[in-house]
Amino acid sequence: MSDRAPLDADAVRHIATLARLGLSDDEVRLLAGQLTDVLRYVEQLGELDTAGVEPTHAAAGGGAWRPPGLRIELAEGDATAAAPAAVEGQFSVPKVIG
Amino acid sequence: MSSPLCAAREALERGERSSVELTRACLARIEATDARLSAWLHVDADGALAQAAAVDARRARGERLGPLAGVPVGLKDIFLTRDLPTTCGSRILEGYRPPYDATVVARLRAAGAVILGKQNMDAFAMGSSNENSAFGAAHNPWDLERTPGGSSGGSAAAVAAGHCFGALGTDTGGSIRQPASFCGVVGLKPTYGRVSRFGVIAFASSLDQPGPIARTVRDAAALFEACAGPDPHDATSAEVPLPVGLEAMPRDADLAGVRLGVPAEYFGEGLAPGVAAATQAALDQLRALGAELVDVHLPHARYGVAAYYLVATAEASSNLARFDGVRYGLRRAGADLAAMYGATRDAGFGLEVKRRIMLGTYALSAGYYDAYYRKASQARTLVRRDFDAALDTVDAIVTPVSPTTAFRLGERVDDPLSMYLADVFTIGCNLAGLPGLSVPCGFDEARLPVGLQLIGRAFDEATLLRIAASYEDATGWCGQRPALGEEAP
Repeated sequence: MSDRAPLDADAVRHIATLARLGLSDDEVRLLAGQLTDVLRYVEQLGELDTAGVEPTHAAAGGGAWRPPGLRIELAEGDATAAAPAAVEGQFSVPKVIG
Repeated sequence: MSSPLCAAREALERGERSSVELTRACLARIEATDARLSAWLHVDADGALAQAAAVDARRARGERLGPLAGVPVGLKDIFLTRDLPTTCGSRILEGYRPPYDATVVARLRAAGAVILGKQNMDAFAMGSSNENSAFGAAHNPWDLERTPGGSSGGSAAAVAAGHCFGALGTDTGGSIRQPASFCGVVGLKPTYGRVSRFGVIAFASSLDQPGPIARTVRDAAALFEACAGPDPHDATSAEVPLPVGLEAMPRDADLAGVRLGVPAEYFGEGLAPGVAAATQAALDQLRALGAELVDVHLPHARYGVAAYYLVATAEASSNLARFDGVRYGLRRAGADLAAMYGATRDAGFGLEVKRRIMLGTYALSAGYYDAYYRKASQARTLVRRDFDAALDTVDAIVTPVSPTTAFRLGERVDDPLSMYLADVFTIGCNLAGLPGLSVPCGFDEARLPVGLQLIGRAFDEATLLRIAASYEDATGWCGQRPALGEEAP
């Protein structure tokens, strides 16, 4: 990790595409510097000997599974009431298939 | 000192006050001071008065009422509320009205609480200063030029200013405890799994935990008891019985037999002198109350910030994928679906949210997953083991909440890394899933509140509350209020 090159603008744009974030050129420039700073900081984790250490993905907490049969009932009108575009109880999106 | 929420509840039960009176008083206080504090994003005056009148009517008929019947409270704007707007502090949800209540909101309603409205916060709970609220930062009632902390800053400011008898916030890396500390009130981050996350807008699902903010320990205990406990709608909710009658802790109890761990790692360089002095005085007071102070070590604590900002952002990048302009909130037009997503998210998210989504996406992306996300998750195991080992020998760990008192608005806004580093004392609890409590422990030289943090064993919030109540009874810091109240509006 320690020889990681700073993030350049192209790398930031690539990540933004993966994250479905449109970014302005100013934001790309700013984030390149700030994300590089944070990535350099987190490189200290490389000092840790983690061979054989199981990762923790969730702390304490309960079981992993929701009981069967439990459902959240939303009326059709409720489910789409806050949608920016809905047609006849369906969410409407820009045309995907030509 | 008396606990305002518990006292209000007793006055209501004895018929000395009505809920409508209390609610009117809270609304008047908000009206008089919130132009300066910006603690609220939405005040539901009519709805609150209607709820209060309904409780008063039920009481007059002699009906059996819930434990918070008629008590006015506030909610951080991260909790879904069926009848109120829910923005999570972000433009992308401006105007959104959820189709259902979060479990904790439903429980507060069932307990009879009067919901005054929704409180200001850093967008998507990402921030330590409230400056990432899309609707303008809340201000600290002790000094209006300073931050109330974050991300539950509006809730802590509102409680400190006497706008409400308590509030619910959420804590992913310190977002209840740090603002409670900055505003001189009590904040409890319960054990992960103790309080349902169903209907709480997710930031980092393995770290997020709702909890109470109140003026005293007993008031926080009463709110905690009303909203905690198993919930089948949250798969990570723990099937652990909740102690009852928590707020009925004996007055002026000593701490004989209590062992408290003091980790040297939390008292090193970087601690502001005023915080160090107040914390040391608190340790002396705890010893005077009969507690035994023991050195403990948390050697991986210094890796906590790095691990946290990879784990939390990785989870956030996934959780915030749902804000895509399809089911709720903002939509910006684009030539195709991908362009619509990009334009919507660019317009709806603020810079800090984008920064964290970017960092998390990078940490999870092909080629970097092992070096960042997996490594951070392993570091999390090491942090957790440190706490487990220490808590094998002591009843609770005592530390400062934050290295400084409330800083000036604008002071750190251009340096996100310095903002992240200030979370160093609070994030360990979240990584390890343990309960943490912030209780006022004095003031610095600028008369800004300092908070003391108690960290306990999983599901042992009762011990933290008991220690904190004993400390509070002995010191009276919780009785101090910001001068805001005495100024003519």
